[in-house]
Amino acid sequence: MRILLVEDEKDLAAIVRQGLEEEGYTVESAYDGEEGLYMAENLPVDLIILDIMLPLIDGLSILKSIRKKGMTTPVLLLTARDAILDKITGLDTGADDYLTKPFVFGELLARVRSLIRRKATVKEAVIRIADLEINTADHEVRRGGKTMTLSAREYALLEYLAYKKDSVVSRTDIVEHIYHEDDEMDSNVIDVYINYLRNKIDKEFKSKLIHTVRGSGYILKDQKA
Amino acid sequence: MINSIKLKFFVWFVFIFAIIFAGLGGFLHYEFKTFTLNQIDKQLSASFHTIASPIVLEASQGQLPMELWELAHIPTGDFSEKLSGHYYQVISPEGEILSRSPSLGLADEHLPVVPVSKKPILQTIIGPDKARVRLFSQSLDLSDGTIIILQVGNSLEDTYSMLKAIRDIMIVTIPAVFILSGFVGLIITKRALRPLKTFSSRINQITEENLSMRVKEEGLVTELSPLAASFNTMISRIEAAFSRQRQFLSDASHELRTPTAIIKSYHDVILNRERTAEEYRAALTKIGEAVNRMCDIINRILVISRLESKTIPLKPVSMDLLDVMKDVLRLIEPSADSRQIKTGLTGSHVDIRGDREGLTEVFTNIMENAIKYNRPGGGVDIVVSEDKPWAIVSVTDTGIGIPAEEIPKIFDRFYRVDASRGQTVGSGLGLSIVKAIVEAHAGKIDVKSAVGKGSTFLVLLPI
Repeated sequence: MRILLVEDEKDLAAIVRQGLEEEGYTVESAYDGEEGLYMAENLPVDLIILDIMLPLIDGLSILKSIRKKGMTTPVLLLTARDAILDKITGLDTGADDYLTKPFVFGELLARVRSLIRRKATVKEAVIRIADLEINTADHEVRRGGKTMTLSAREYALLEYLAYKKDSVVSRTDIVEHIYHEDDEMDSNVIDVYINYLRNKIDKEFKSKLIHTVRGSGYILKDQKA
Repeated sequence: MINSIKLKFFVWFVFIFAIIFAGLGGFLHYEFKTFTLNQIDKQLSASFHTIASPIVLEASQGQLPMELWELAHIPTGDFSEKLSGHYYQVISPEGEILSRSPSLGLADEHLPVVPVSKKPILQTIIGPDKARVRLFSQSLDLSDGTIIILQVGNSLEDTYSMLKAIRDIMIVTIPAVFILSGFVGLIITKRALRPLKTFSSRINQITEENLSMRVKEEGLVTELSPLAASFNTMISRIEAAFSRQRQFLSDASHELRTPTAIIKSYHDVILNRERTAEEYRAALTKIGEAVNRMCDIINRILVISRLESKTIPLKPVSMDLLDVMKDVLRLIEPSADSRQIKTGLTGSHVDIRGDREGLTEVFTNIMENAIKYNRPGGGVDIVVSEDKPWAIVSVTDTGIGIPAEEIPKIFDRFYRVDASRGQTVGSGLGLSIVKAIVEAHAGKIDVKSAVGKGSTFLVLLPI
């Protein structure tokens, strides 16, 4: 899942980014309102974490502008003000959630997961496909009662497929949602990671869950269902 | 309890009514008594003359013994009944009783003897029936040369029993009036204080949470309207003070939130898994920077609040303002040089008294702003002058200027002119401190600015 973080405090942006990336998210950073607005409008992301007090263009204006363009990307507002009126204004402008600085990092992660789930077809923290269980809170992946060990990138790929379960996901989608915008990408890399995943998830099991859709991409699906 | 207006009114009512009624009663009693005694005396005088004239007439015809006998034996009206309260008596100058009214004679009583007097003697005596008797005695010079004394008496019992009745009535009625007046007083007070109760219940609705509420003036008695008005003025002042405090608290907490968020996030993220010593060191460095930032904000807040509450005394010394400005220039020279900004200092030597450290901070702050918001290659000019009673320092820069509507706000705590211009350096407290120090010196600070051309800060200090 790719997250756009718009925060002008560089130190705060750095640690939030680190924390999110360690959880398997791909984070794009913007440090002022202009950059933030440009990236919000032009980068495919799954969530925007938006500070309100920003140089050049404030967060609420960015929010208003992207909502006006009909973009439905979930937005989590971050702010140093906790006046009720600010929360109301923020939510009414089109924010999906609101977090006041300073925040407990665990809460930020929980809200991020909840917002990502909201757009996906899955509504629970644990996603189940046949006997495969993906716990999005602690990143534990089990199949048939057996715990799998996945790398961060593998997990991010599996989680992305799981959120979009039963629908075809193109290679471009995968690139746009689990890689950084400026990563040097070889299109084979996706196939390589899909292979790694298949080895861990499907190899020892009779029923396969990851399927290739020729010419389109991949799908995570329980074929018996 | 004695502080209660109700009780005071009660006591005053009872006290005043007591005095009025006791006074009135006493006066009436006295007047009645005097009037009645006067009436009796007149009546006695009349009776005296009625009895005296036949005596004088008969004596002139040598019929005195006959007349005296008639007086003692022929019943005439009130004087005939035994101890009727109406008496007369004729005595010789030696005190011998010559004749007396049947009212005395039948009871074998006599009136006390008095000496010869040509003027009437009026006295109150204890009479034959143990009752008080008013006695009128006067001597008569008869034509045959004899002198007799005629005494006429009238019992005062009726008068005294009337007076006693009046006193009895007063003894019963006055306390009743006291009690009644007390209760009336209580009721009146209660009614009179009712508007006050309304007023206080309206005031009671105003609390810390709804300071924007005001005491409604309509429906209040006219006497309380000014009170309500002054109360409302006071509430307005309190509200303003409260909102300043609230704003300050909210601003201060806002400023502290960002560094706190940095510290909290580093703590949460870094402790989430095992790290290398290098990573821990880097995180602690960042946390340290955030802590320093917080310390700086807190220190500045403390300085301002101390200056404003006057808990740090200034250490006034004599100094030459031009010297102070030279020191300031030396301090900020490196940052001016790094932005290629030329600084100039002109003016005369002006001696003032002030806190040197504080004033150095004032001008350093102003100079830092003049450099920070200047264009590269710009200039800052300092002029020290004197315009009694003020010493004036003007700092003029060729910077970006301050929009007119922003000028009143630049001395507010945490205010940054360029919050939306990408520069958020500094705590936003610098000019607040400047203003606080200048005002602690009983000085003034003024700003003139033109956007795009530059600003002039004028600091006026008393000489």
